Amino acid sequence: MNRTQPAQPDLESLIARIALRDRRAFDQLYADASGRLFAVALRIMKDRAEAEDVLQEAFIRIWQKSDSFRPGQAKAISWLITIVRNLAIDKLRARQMPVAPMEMAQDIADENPTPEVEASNTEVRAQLDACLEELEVNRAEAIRSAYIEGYSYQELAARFDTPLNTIRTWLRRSLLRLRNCLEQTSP
Amino acid sequence: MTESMPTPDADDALAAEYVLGVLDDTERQAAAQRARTDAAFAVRISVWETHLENLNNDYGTQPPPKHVKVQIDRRLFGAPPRRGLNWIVTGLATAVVLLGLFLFQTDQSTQPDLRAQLQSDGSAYAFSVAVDLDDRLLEMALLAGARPTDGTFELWLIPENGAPQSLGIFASGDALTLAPQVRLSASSTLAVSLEPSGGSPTGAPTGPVLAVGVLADV
Repeated sequence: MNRTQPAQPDLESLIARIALRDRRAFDQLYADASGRLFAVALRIMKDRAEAEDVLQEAFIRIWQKSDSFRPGQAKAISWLITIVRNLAIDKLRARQMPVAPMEMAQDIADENPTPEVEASNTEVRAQLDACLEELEVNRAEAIRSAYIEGYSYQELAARFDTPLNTIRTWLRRSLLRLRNCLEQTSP
Repeated sequence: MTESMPTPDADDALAAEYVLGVLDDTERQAAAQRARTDAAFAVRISVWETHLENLNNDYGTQPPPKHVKVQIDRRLFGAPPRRGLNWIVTGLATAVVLLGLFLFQTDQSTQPDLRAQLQSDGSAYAFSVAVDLDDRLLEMALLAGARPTDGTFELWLIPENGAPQSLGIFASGDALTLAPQVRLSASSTLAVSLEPSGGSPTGAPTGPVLAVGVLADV
């Protein structure tokens, strides 16, 4: 492991300390990760006040559930983002929100990927991109936009102007093809 | 939704749909519920989370407004933010302690022999300790910081050599009776840690140390 900032505790050890009820670790985790997590909440909720609510719920869950994090199983940042995505999507689905206008989705979030993270993941990311590229363009795009924007099947159907059941059938097939590709090419 | 896929693939596709987030409310809740009882299905979900995690880089970064953290802290700890309002809390607490001191002084029989103020850089917590050696009583008071909602404070004597010795657990302000083997004197170091309810399960501090201080003669 090459550590660029040895003086700073990494997210894994902060989460472990939060499980011991360490408030300073909690404050540090907030300082280090809230920007990335808020970007996720904003992108999915497409509304600042709602994104703030999601972020608040997420950190309350992080404080309460930090003992369920297993460092060997998931990267800390992925674990944190999963908490935010699940809360945001649960909230949207619970009220079947109408489809958000496209322009809102675009001006709300920062398009710049986090540079250091991107660099460290280039190889794995290239593999995911390569496997997505093997799918038809609009299917890869449906997977990507569903994940990033939190679109439901209903929203995808409207967006791709395709009946919901058709979208569902080809998305499920595409996901399984993606899986087969990822599992073949993984070391 | 009718399925023509064989079951493992159908399960895997469902796990992928759950991770993508495309399911409607009913199906999503059913999938989440299934993951709680069906370990194999839960594993499929975490495998898909790993398959797709590199898309997370596309989200970028957006700093949240300051008030979000204030609200989180209020909900979790019931406390005002550490900076800003902290001096008011400390000021009020000091006034209470001064009043207490004044009352103590008027009653010679309960005047303590040793005192300490426990605090720590970067910690929101401060405690005062007053020890009455004749009655073997130790009074703890929380000067700043919130009472733990989950767990308890534990006071420790930190000897120069050897392991910390527990002097007892307390809530915000309690009188602890000193065990016969405890020897306290001016220059004894005390510390407060945050421990699970009922106190440290191991007999040694397990939680974060919130404050430290040294006893002095009154």
